[in-house]
Amino acid sequence: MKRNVGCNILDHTVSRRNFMLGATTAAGFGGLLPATWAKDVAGNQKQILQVYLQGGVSQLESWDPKPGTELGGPFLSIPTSVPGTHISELLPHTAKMMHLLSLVRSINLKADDHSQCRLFMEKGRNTPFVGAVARNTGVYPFLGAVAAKYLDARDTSLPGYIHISTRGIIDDTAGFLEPQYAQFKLEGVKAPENLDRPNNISKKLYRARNDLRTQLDRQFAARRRKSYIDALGSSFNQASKLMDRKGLFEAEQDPQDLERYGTHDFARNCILGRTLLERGATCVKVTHHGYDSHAENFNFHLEQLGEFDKTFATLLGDLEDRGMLEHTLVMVYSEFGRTPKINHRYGRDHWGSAWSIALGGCGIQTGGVVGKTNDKGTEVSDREVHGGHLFHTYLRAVGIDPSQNHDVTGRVIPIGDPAVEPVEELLA
Amino acid sequence: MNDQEAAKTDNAQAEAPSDQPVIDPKQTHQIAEYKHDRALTTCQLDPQGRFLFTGAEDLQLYRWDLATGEKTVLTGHRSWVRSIRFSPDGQWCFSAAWDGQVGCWRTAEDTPQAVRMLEAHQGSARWVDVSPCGKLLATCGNDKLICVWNIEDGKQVAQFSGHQTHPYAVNFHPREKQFVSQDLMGNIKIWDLVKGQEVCTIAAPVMTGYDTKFAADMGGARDMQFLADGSLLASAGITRVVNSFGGQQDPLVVLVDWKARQIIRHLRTVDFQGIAWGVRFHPDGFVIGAGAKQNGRGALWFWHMPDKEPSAEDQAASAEKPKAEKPKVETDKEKAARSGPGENPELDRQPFHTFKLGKCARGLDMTANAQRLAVAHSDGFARIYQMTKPAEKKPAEAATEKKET
Repeated sequence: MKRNVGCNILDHTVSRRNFMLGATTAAGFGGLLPATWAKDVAGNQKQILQVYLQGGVSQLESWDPKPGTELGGPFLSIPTSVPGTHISELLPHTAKMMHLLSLVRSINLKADDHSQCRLFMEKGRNTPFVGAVARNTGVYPFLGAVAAKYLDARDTSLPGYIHISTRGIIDDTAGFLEPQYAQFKLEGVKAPENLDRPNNISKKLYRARNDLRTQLDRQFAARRRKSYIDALGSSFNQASKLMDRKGLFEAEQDPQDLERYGTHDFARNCILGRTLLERGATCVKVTHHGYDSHAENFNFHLEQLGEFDKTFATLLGDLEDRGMLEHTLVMVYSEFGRTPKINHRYGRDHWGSAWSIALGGCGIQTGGVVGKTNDKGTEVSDREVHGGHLFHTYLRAVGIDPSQNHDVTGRVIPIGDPAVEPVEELLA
Repeated sequence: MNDQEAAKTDNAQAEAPSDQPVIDPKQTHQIAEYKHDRALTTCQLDPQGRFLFTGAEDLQLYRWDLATGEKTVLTGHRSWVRSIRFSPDGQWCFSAAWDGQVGCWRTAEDTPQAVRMLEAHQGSARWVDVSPCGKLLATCGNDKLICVWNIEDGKQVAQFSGHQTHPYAVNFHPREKQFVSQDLMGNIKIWDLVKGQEVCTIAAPVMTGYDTKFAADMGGARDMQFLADGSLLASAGITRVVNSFGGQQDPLVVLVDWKARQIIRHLRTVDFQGIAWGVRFHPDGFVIGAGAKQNGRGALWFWHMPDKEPSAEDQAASAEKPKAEKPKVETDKEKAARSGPGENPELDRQPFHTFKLGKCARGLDMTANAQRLAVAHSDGFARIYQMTKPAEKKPAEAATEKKET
């Protein structure tokens, strides 16, 4: 791990000692995350930006190029703003921002299935599967939901975990957490459907209906677990707040932003993502589609990364200029990488065995490279990590201790896989 | 096995003198093959018929002596060679590569060294073509530019911009001082060399498609050629995108009437999902296409030229029916997912013959005597196919074969 002295320091991280003290006194239940601690973390406004390259971006055409080698493909590599670190020529704008990022080039998920690997990367768990259906991992929450629960204690009118995507992938993102922490899906720069109050219901009637519901909830709650009613009430409250902020999602975007970011969907979604983070959303995930290139891998990566590169570099620069990287973890990731072997369709297939991601911002030691693959890119040759290690790392970066437990209506469930540790070299 | 041994069939036949046998696409058969250890990317025969040049998924350009099978390695590129062309007299060979460079080589030198490597484009150099006078090169690249170069001194003499997406191929008109380029979205631009400006754009949306599932465009020319008199332009590529990330789209060759600036034919295929990677006009009045199938196999297609098409009745009577393989039943979802223009009975034509290839075709060229085809394959072989009746075996050979059997 090459250190960069200019990296951000996690100034406001709650120390383990303070955390444990709070845990034992407030909860009376060793290892549970106490509410006071959650608020403390939230007060530091830690946030997460996830840029998800859906389908599996090729590590050889992005973060771990092997130009001139047997399986390296046709693209060259270029130097970056970090001396000695080269990435693909398809990322010239990002290359200039590499001092704000670190690379992990040694991920081995020991799987090649979209769903299985996506869940591993999002949940940090990889329980055996039966067919394509999750048996146990299905109940674990996504990173965004965990962040929304433990970082979003402010009275915000935005959902804690917002996913902007032009396509629908249906996942149970909240898992065993309360449903209000599930991803709130936006299909591009437009307001969610059914956000308007029906024309035939006046404001007065609307308020009266809400009051009646609240009253009935109170009666209902008297005989049931509080969390059930809280989740329901929270959903209604959030819906009301969103109705008031509809304009945020459909506001015309600044022409200067569009000129800098681009005018395609991903650019517009990133501008919206930045706005949502500025307005206090805890975790914003922006998905860029089109990397599952079993055919024409090189032409598709040229086009898709051509869209990604300038837009992402501009977004990263904006977060830096606005001081947001100090409290925002930035992740660029996929469910897996792509095979070094090039098939007869000029394609690369699924490959979870030796691939890369990029991280930056809050809590991350930037300008470094963790791990490496062999000369052909067919195996991890140093510092192998998997989704569990990375999950721990993300949480630690934003100040959540993954070795602690969720309290799920009395059940104690470890936040991160207890069998693994974070990638310490990545942490600031 | 060394390379020379690998040229195991009768290589001498590949460019042997001929007493004008009858060209018949239905007699197409393989007569030679040249083995390389990486997948090939393109191929081109030198005009004098001595050599086949190939690009591969590595950093070299390869020259194959058609008579002996000898392989010569030309080093100098830093990435895969995508396109190869020769000067009209065959003295010079030019190679465009994904490293952005265009190499200039003496075709017949013992071990050709790059006489010049033009830093032609920022990003890949997709294509190179030589002007009919042999003095100019046209190239296109991932910087979205079309550049024209003076061959003698290697200096750029003109630069054309206007493609909004990546241009895939360029081609000089054989008689006029104009050339064409085609981009990812299918747009064919005509450029005037004298005025240094665009003449017009011919839209070919049939050659591009938006993959709704993966949210990306696919299209563009994978090969282009003018008819010798310049009256027609052929462009090979794809159409009817279903799932291009999985290789599900159809191959297509379009014919453009040069004078009318209009697409006049969609040359389609039967039961084949993949890409058309090569196209050539045959002087006997048909168009040849070469393609790669999604499943790893390939095909050579033969279509009638527009002025040689049989009447509708004749066509119906003689049309090749798909063999009794289990027909692919397209689901409603697949039908709905198809983007781009669909069938157009007025323009669409099916091949009068299809020759199946065991491996994907990634490049096509034809010998000067128009009897043979060279195909670059995805399994690393360059193969030579002859479009005439196979030579009769001598009685002694036949007897030996029978005995061995």
